[in-house]
Amino acid sequence: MDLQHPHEDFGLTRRQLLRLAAIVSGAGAGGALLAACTEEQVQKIKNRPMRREITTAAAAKDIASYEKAITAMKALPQSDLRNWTRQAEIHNQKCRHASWLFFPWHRAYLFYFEKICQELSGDPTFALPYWNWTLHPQVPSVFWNTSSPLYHTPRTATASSTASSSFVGSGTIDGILDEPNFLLFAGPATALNDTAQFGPGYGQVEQTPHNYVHGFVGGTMASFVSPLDPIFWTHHNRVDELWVQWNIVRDNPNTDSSDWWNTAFTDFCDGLGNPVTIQVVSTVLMPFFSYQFDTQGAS
Amino acid sequence: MTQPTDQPTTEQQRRVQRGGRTTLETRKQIRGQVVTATAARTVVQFRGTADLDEQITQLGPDVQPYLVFTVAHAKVLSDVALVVFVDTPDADAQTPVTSKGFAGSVAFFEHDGHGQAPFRVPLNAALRRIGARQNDLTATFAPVALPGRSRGRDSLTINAVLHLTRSKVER
Repeated sequence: MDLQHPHEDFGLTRRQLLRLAAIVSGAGAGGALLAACTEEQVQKIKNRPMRREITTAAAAKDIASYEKAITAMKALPQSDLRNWTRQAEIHNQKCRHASWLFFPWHRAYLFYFEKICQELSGDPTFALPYWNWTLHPQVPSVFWNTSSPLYHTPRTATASSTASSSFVGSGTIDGILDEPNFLLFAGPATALNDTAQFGPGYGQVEQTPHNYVHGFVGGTMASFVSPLDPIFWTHHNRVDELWVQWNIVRDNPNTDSSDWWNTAFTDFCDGLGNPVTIQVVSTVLMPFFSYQFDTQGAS
Repeated sequence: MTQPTDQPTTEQQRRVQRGGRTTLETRKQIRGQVVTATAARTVVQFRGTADLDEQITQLGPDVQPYLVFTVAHAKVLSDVALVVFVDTPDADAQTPVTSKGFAGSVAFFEHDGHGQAPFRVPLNAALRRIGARQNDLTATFAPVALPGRSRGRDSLTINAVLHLTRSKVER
């Protein structure tokens, strides 16, 4: 399976995949479009992994696989790019913040992390759970179980600490989702293939709930090796879910700038530990073909 | 304001593929002056803005006010969260977000060594709630304590500029 281009999971060209998007979303597909794909391919996309809110009962299977994957990643040698610490080092040394690359870089980071978890947990249906801090403003109880690999120290938040509604509450989040301009919602422009870790300014998701939750959890989460804390991945998954809400569910357009679409990331490895290259354009399609959120509806 | 859609459309698929032409063009900047700086709040005043609505109108359609700012602070206070209010000079961390003047909130962490980018908070919604104004615009920045950390006893150094910016999205 070539993970460099997620749609190639299904043996499709990009053109076929875009046609499939209409089919999967129920957007008025005709027989000619259906003929472009096998039934197996269509079913695989329809049944792509469902990312669920971590406090729901439906997430229990994925939590168990997540625990299994973390244990396996920590047991890998440092020479393996999938090693837990090596994965955190990717963020420490390569992350993109404070620009319009914040969303796609972290989406790709989570996508490949999810592939690694699928491989190492032996659960090909694994979907990374997300922590909806708007609905559940306390660190979920699964992260306080000291016998679980989801437990991590240090954190400055306690089990009873409650995130401020000024930063994560529904009123604040709705206000951010109402912003129609990508450059304000996501962040300002950078040049094609810009590699700076800190860009020219924050977008609204990053500067408010994203940054706040990092600081709220504290400890390792309030640093650039924050992925060492398993809560990081579920936090950023919520950030990704907000991008899906804004772009796909609410139908706001990302930028049309080729500098954004064509920017490539070379920082990740696939489920087998092989280095990969991925462009922003592929990250935009991921929620249609590689995974879905339980809030995504028919999209 | 955009509204959620029940079902995606073919047009939506095209948009997701191609995006839209999004532009931000700042047409006027007004630098703020710090008039109060305590541990509880920093208040910044923007002189010559009593007629802000009129200035915005004169700058053309789609122009909106944004507060663009950076924060400098004592090194011991590595993690900072702020709530921001306009025309509410007495606001502090306890002022509810339901206050008419609440404009937004921002946070940052471990910026040492990674630089710090400017924040940008839109003011349109708060100014609409406040309604008619007769005095210069003020912005109040109130630090909020994070779990396990004190808010700090030093005031924050805020460098704030009011941007009047044309924001446009073409699909």
